[in-house]
Amino acid sequence: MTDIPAIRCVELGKRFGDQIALSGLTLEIAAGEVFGLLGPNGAGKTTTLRMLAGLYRPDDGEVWVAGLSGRSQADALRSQVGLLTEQPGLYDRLTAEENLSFFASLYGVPATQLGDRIERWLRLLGLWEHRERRAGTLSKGMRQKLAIARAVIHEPPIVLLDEPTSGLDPESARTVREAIASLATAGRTLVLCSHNLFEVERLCRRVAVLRPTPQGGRLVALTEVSQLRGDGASGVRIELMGEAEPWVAATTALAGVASCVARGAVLEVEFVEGALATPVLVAALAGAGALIAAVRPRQKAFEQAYLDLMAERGAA
Amino acid sequence: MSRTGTLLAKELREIRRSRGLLLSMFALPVPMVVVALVLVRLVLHVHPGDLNELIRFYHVQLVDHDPRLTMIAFWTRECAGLFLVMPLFIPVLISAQSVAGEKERRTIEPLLASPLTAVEIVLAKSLAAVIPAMGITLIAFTLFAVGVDVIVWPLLHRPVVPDGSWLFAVLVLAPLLSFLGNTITVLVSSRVNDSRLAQQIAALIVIPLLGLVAVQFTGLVFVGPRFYLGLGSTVALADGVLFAVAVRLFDRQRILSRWA
Repeated sequence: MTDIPAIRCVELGKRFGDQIALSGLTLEIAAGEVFGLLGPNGAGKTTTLRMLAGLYRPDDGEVWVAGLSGRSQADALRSQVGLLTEQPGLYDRLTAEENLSFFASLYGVPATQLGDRIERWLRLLGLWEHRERRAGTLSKGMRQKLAIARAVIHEPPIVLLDEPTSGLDPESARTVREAIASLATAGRTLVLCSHNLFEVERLCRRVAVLRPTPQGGRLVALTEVSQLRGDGASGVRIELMGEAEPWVAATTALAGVASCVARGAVLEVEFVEGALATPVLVAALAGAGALIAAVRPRQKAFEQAYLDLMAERGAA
Repeated sequence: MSRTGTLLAKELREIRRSRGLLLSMFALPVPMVVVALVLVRLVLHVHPGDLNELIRFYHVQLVDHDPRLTMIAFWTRECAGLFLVMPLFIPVLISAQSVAGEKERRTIEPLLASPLTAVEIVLAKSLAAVIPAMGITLIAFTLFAVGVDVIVWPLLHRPVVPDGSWLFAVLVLAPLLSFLGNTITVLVSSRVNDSRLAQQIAALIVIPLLGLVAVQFTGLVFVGPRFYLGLGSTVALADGVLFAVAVRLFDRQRILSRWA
């Protein structure tokens, strides 16, 4: 990683006529980072991605991608970026190999390297045996993998992925996710725009969460995935053999416990920060006769954390 | 190969593999050549007195004491005008598929995301429409010319076509009109999402040319070489201006954000 961010947005905004698509987006993405862009429909994710890809000009603020301005250097910027569009966008009458060859040539891959480069990516994505098939005859999953190969055939430092597993069956989605993971290991900066929270959680370290508002899509959170989930929060989840309700009063009475809630056989305990360690609580409960089945750190499911954030910001 | 050349090669490859498009490209020239040759052949069987009446009606300049040859010479010149519909119309079919068709099939976003400039895209797509259109036009003109000469050879013992006006039509007017048909379609295609709608709107461009031919057949108006020279100059100017406008309107943001 270098100190210069791969992507930098400052107060970035976009309008289409009277409609504001995005406003005030400020974020930095480090080189080599796998970054997620989350949000419901209409939050401005695709608009953001298209500005990062040099397809849309910013109306407000500025975006720099690989150090190139999205306003004044869009032509040069496009050669530094690989874009996987929401639709595979392949030429159905051309073979898999011809599709890649066409795009590689457009991006200036030397003719002497073309064959090797195409073979490497097709083999990596398990498409080598299908290289002479027309794109229109490939399955949905194969088409998406071919589209990924097209996005990276010129080996750009930055790859933007718009809904890469949208509409795929679970098996195809899994192979596409594996393909994306393999891109990440090569030190590229990846920006993954997705509705699929499982995929974002698996692949990304940090996420930006956008939310639609009357003033356009706005950034509501810029955080690490672990932080959004609440990893390492000061609290514990204790699963008991039997109902947890009878143990609430005793737990709350312990010094250092901020709150305690029973949910069926589970006690959700929040500590006053730094006041009480989990072993002390467990010992106290066991000593009082509670039958403890499991003890886990308090952590929300990523999906729940995302939904809570949306609800919280919606109410605000 | 340059980026323009790469895109042009891809476009031509796609056209070669599109059976429907190829069929529609030949749908106009084939009957045109056949019907025109049949009419030439029929002239030989018309009574000379009837042909003389036609010659007087159309104020046709006599080229031979045989009215059949005069009438055939007149008809072949008129056909040159009629055949110019081909280079004008065929690019409409190709360009509509090439630009609006890319939007329909959702292949245009990766193309726009590439380093290609608007000039390169419009130029490559224009050449991909003009080259096949000119190829077909040349074949049609050649077949007609050979057919006419074969028909008149027993009477004249020399070829009737190509003459100066034919060569001017084929080598100057046809490419200019072909480029015009293409540029107008690119302009329309960059504003609509449907290739058929693009074809229907852009195809209106053939109406003035057909009107000109039709008016000549009424015998009320006769346009000569000077008119065709003026037409060539006007179309050349229009080609330049419309190409510049097409490049200006071929805006990535406008094309992507206007998707339905």
